[in-house]
Parts: sequence; structure tokens; C-alpha cells
Amino acid sequence: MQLKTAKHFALHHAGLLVVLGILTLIFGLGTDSFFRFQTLGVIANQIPDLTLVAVGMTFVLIIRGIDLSVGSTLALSSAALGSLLIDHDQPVLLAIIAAVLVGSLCGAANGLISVKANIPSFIVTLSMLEIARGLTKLITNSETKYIGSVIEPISNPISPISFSPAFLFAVTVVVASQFVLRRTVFGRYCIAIGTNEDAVRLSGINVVPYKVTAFVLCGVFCGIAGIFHAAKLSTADPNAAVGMELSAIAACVIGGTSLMGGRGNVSSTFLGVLIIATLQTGLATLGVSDPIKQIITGSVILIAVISDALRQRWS
Amino acid sequence: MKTHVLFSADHLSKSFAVKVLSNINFDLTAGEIHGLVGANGAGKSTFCNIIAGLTIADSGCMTLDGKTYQPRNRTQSIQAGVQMVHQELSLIHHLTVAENLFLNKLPTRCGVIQHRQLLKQAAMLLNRIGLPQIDPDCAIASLGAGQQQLVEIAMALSRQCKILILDEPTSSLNSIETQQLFEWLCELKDQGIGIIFISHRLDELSLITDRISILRDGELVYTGATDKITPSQILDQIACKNRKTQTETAFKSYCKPELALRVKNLKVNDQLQDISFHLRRGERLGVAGLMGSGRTELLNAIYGEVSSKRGSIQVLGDTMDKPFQRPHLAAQNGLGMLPEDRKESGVLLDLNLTQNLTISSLKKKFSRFGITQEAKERRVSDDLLSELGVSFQDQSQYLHTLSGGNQQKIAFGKWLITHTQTLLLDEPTRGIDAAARLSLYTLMERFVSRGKSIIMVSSDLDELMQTCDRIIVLAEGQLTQTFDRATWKSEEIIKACFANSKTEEDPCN
Repeated sequence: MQLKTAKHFALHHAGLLVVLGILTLIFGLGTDSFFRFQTLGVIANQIPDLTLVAVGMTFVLIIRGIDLSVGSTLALSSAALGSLLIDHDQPVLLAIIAAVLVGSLCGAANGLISVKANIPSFIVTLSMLEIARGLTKLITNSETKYIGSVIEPISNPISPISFSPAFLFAVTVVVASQFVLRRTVFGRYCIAIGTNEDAVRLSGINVVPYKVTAFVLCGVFCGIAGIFHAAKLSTADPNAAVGMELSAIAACVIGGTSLMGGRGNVSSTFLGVLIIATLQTGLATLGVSDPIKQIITGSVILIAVISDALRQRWS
Repeated sequence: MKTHVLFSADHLSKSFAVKVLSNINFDLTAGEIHGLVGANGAGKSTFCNIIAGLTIADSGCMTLDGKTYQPRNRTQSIQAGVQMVHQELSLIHHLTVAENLFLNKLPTRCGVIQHRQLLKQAAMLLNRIGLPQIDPDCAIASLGAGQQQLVEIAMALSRQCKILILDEPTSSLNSIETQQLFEWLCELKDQGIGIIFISHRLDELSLITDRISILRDGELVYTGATDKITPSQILDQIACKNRKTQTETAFKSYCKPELALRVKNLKVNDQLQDISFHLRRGERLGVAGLMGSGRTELLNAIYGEVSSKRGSIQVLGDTMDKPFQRPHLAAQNGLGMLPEDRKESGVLLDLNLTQNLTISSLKKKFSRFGITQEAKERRVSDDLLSELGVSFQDQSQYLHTLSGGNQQKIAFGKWLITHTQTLLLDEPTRGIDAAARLSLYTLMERFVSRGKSIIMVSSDLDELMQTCDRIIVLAEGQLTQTFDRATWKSEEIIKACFANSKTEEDPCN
């Protein structure tokens, strides 16, 4: 019986891998420079922040919620990091802990307000999107802070493998989160709550802590993503990650996560992130202009969702 | 009666993964009410879906009014005059009766709805089809379930209608509403409409139908005049075995003297007033009452699904007697619940059988350090599935692939691996075939034989009288009377259901 689920899982991932392969092939044949080992490194070191945010988003979507504040939360946590390091001369470790804490607080606020007061998470996190962005600008005086080399090692490739610590961390988070989703009580209840919250509640389960935890987890991942984002650019930018919530949702959706809750995988979300990043990098290598890039990215998302819907209907 | 054949099906077959319908030959004459019975999964719904164009048959043909009839979708069947009313209501709750009735043809001027004209049209329609008592301007949500059902049928009749398919129309109606529906159906019959009437209630079928067709495992095993077959013969045909008359089976009480639960002066807003009763260990307590009498609200209040309530609920050996504020608190104190609407809130259709069975006990029994122990889950659910008598292929199949009866057995089964001492069952056998019903009764009996207790709400008085030690009757939010098995009479219980504003003390309190 495990076989059936495993087969289904493999089949779904195979589809995403085929898409990824086709994209790579197109870009590889279309340009001279894409088929280089460095390209892999470029893509890998570009995505840790989006990966973490998308993983957090996957949990929230699975419980039938949504978190629109991920981009602002990311920016706020990197602003906190920058401010502590530059304005207050605090040690790196403390600044990192503070950044993660800021993310988790935003997540906790989202979760507690939407679950306890029973307000749609769309509204609550939309408000948080504004509030966190406002706080970010307040902390940074709306100016980009240059942080410098203190935190750069996080996103600098380690020499023999050409992957950065941030990327390796993100991959670890993907593997661990997939395990949490599929093999723990928390993960099982998240999926169950997403498919039918009433039935779970009437089965005698207190759904509140599980739902809040999903939001907190998302917040924590945004906090860490904030550090990675700052490390990648060596700055704390008040306008960092504007619109990232949409990229994260797109990655989840390409990976087959349902916006109606109950369905999704962290591993396929990661493949979704890879598809988006490959597309971005590949189109850049081809020298495609920004407007066209956007149109193509949008179309790929659309095609992914349509093929997923068709697949659902056939099975 | 006219003998003009309105509709016929010839060698109709359909398979999904397995054969669902094979070689169905069926005909419906104008002005006939044709009953359709069968166990869940016998193919009734598939057959009706084919007629209504929702499903396309693999082979065979149909005729309507002598012409070949091959609907490819619902729109075509509606145009051909085939109207179907589903068991699940499809009305829009926030809109008014009139708006629902004319949703696809609202009278407008430059895109603005002509409200007055709409109301006039709706009132005329309701009048014409015999429902003058319904106010076209009130919201659907404010109507009772029975009236909603009538509006739903009215909607079907507002279109051109030759064939009316009713899927368990009486399951949410009380006896007065049922009576009204039947009178109404007889009028429609006189107008020459052919009616296919699906029901599990055999007494209704023998009362209202002209002919009865019985489906069993996708085959039409019997068609004939209603007065040529007795209800018990029908049951035999459905279940295909010679059953003993079930009402005669000996009732065995497992009731012990100790109390399991005591409810005192329970009030819920204006829905329940001052309810007091007790439940003994090993006892099965029935709750009778009409639709809207507060039966479901009573169970919800005990289980903590309703937050604003006063009074006290005391569970066996527990000193705390405040009502539970949330369901998980009730569950921690040994209560379990099977809600009325199985699909909406009773089971998780998109999870597999094992996951449904272990949902309530996952944390306590099937996890270590928060990690699930899937091998143990599979082992326990394997045993449980055979104990419950669920027919299934694979533990990992989704729950929605099972029939309603098997789903309900699973919903029941999840409480068997918890420490639940008292189960609250709200209409546990609604829409479930006779065989699954009997096995649920057996499961209930096995449950109480271990000293545990059951409170069961049911609209089916025969069912309560067959399975319960005691029956309490609710009417308009009040507990009107308590009946003991030794002395009860069905007429008296029915009378008590209709009694209002008359409170009797629970004699044991």
C-alpha cells in the first residue's frame, strides 16, 4: 500500500523534473554560456531565501490559510539584522537571533489573530504586509544600509562544491520539512485540517495550536530568509523582497499545492522554486527584456496550474 | 392511469473501475410514481445521473417520449424536461426564495433586477405548484430544512418538466412536511409527470409509489406493482438473503446502575431550555423529536460545539460540572461524537482509511516524540477494519471511495481506539442501506456491552425503539417526556414529540 502513494509521489515529481529538464535544454541550446557549471552555482545561490519563504508558505497553504506578509517580514528581519550590526554594533550571533525572532513574532501575530479571532488569514496577513513594511522603513529610515563583509560568508560559495552555506541550509530545511509534513503528528494534522477542519475539530482535536504553529513556522523561515537575503546583497534594503509573496505562492502552486488546503508537498514546492529560478536565470542569459520575462514567467505558472488541474481530473 | 411510456432504458450499462450498472431495462409511464430502492452502492445514483445527463452510459440506449434520448450534459437533459432534485440541497442561502427560483432568468431592465416583478412571478409560481405558504421574499437560510427541500423541488418544477427524479426527498422532512410533499406529488402525477422516487424508507415507498424497482449490485432485480410486494420482501430483495424480521430480534440491555453522564438545567440561547437528564453506564439513550426540536443542538451543547450555554454537564466520576467549551475538552473527558452531516463534518473524505481511523488517537497512541508510527497505525487499523466489517480493497484508498455505510463505520471506529466512554450519535444511519444499518446497531451493542454508553438522535422512531434502553423526547427545545423500554408505546412517543411547552421532570433525577 505504501507503494501506491510512493508511485503517485514519484510520478508527480517526475512531471516537474521533466519541465525543469526541458527548460534547461532550451536555455542550454539557446545560449553558449548556460551549460556551464557556474550557472548551477548562480541559480543555487540565488534561491535560498525564496526556498525558505516558499516552504513556510506551503505549510500555511496546506492548512487552508495564506500568508501575504512574507516579503515584508523578510525585509523587517533583515532590517533588524542590519540595524543591530551597524547602528548598535552588536555581535553577529545576537543580530541573527534577533532577526529570526522578529520573523517568528510576525508569524505568531498572523497566526494568533487569524485563528483566535477567526478572521481570514488573507486579511490579517495583508495588514501585516503593510505594518511590517512600515516598521522596516522606520528602522532603516527608508535608506539602504550597507552591512559589509560580516555576514557575507553565509552566501559565499564554499570553494570545492560551489554551493553557499545558505543554499545547503535551505536544502536541509526542505528535507526536514518534508519529513515533518509527512511523518509527524503536526504534519498529519495540518493536512487533515486543510481537507476538513470541522471534521478534525469534531474528532476531538484542538486545531488552534496546529494552525498557529503553521504561521509561526512560516514566520521563522521568513526571518532566516531575511538573513540570507541581507547576506546575498550585503545590505539591508527597506524595499527588499517586495512582491515575494507572489513568487512564493507561484512556487507552491507550480509544485501542486492547493490553495484550497490539504494538498501539497515541500519537495515539490522546492522543484517549483527551481523552475522559477531556472526560468529567470535562463531568460536573463538569453538577453530577454524584463517585460517579456514577466510574460513568460506568468505563462509558465498558468501552464503548470492547468496541467495540474487536468492531472487531478484524470486520476 | 395512462399507460403511455414516457421514458425507457434498454440494456443500460456503466463501469467506472468496476461494473456499476449492468443491463438495466427500466421504463417509466406518464403519471406514475416509480420507487427506486437498493443498498448504498447498488447503482441508484449512477442510474439517475445517467438519466439526468451527469454521467454518460457505456452502452445501452434510452428513449424519452418515444424518441431516442442521449443527453451529453445536464443542460441538454434539462431542456428535454428531465429534472433532478439531489439529496444535498443546491440552493443559495443568502438569496431569497424568489431569487433562487428565477436565478437563471431574473427579470431585468438594463441589467437591474425588477424586484417587484420578480416577487410577483415567484408568488405566482409558488401558488401554481401548491406552495402558497412560502414567502418568496424571505432568505433561504431562514427556512427550515423541510421547506428548503420543497423550494428545491419547486425550482425543478418551474422548468419544463416531464420526468422528476427525487433522491431521498424525505430524509430531511418531518412527518407533516412529508405528508404535504406526498399530496403534492399526487397532484403532479395527475398532471402526467413521471416521478422517480428514491428512498430508503420502505413504509413511504409502499404508501406513495405505483411501482417499485429494486437494484442490487448494479442489476435490476425486481420491477413490479407496489401492492404486489411487502416491505419485508423488498428488504429481502435488497439484501438478497432471507432475513428474520428484525423488529423481533431480542433486545438485550447492558445498562448498569452507575451514572455515566448527568446533564442539569442545560440552556442554549433560545434553542434549548432547562434540559436535565442522566445517562447510565452501558445504556443506550435515544433522543426523539421533530426537526428543529433541538435534538442536534443538545448533542452539540454536550460536546462543546456551542459556546454560549449555561447549566451543568457532569461526566462519570468527574468533579467538574461546567459544560465543555470546546470539543477537544469534551473528548479529553471521554466523549465522542458522530455529527449529523457525515460528509461535511464527520469524516475526512480526502484522507485514507487508516488516517481516518487514527485521527482522534494519533498523538497518544501512534506517535513517539511527535513522529508518527505508521507501521503500528497500519497494524491497528487492519484489525479495526475487520472488526468493523468494512468492505475495502486497501487501507490506503481514499475514504470517498467507500459507500456511506462503510464511511460511517469508520467514523464510529475511530472512537473505539480512544478512551471514549460516551458516544453522541446524531442520525448515524441517515442515508445508509439496511445491511450497513444492522451492522452499525451491532457495533453499538458491542460498544455498550463494555460498560460504555451511547446517546443517539434519530428521526426514525422504529430505529430508536429497536436499539435504545430509554428514549427522551424533545419538543421546541424542551424535554417533554422520558420513556422506558418496558412501558413505551410508539403512539405515545409520537404524541410527546408534538407536545409543546409542557415540561415533565425526569423521574430519576
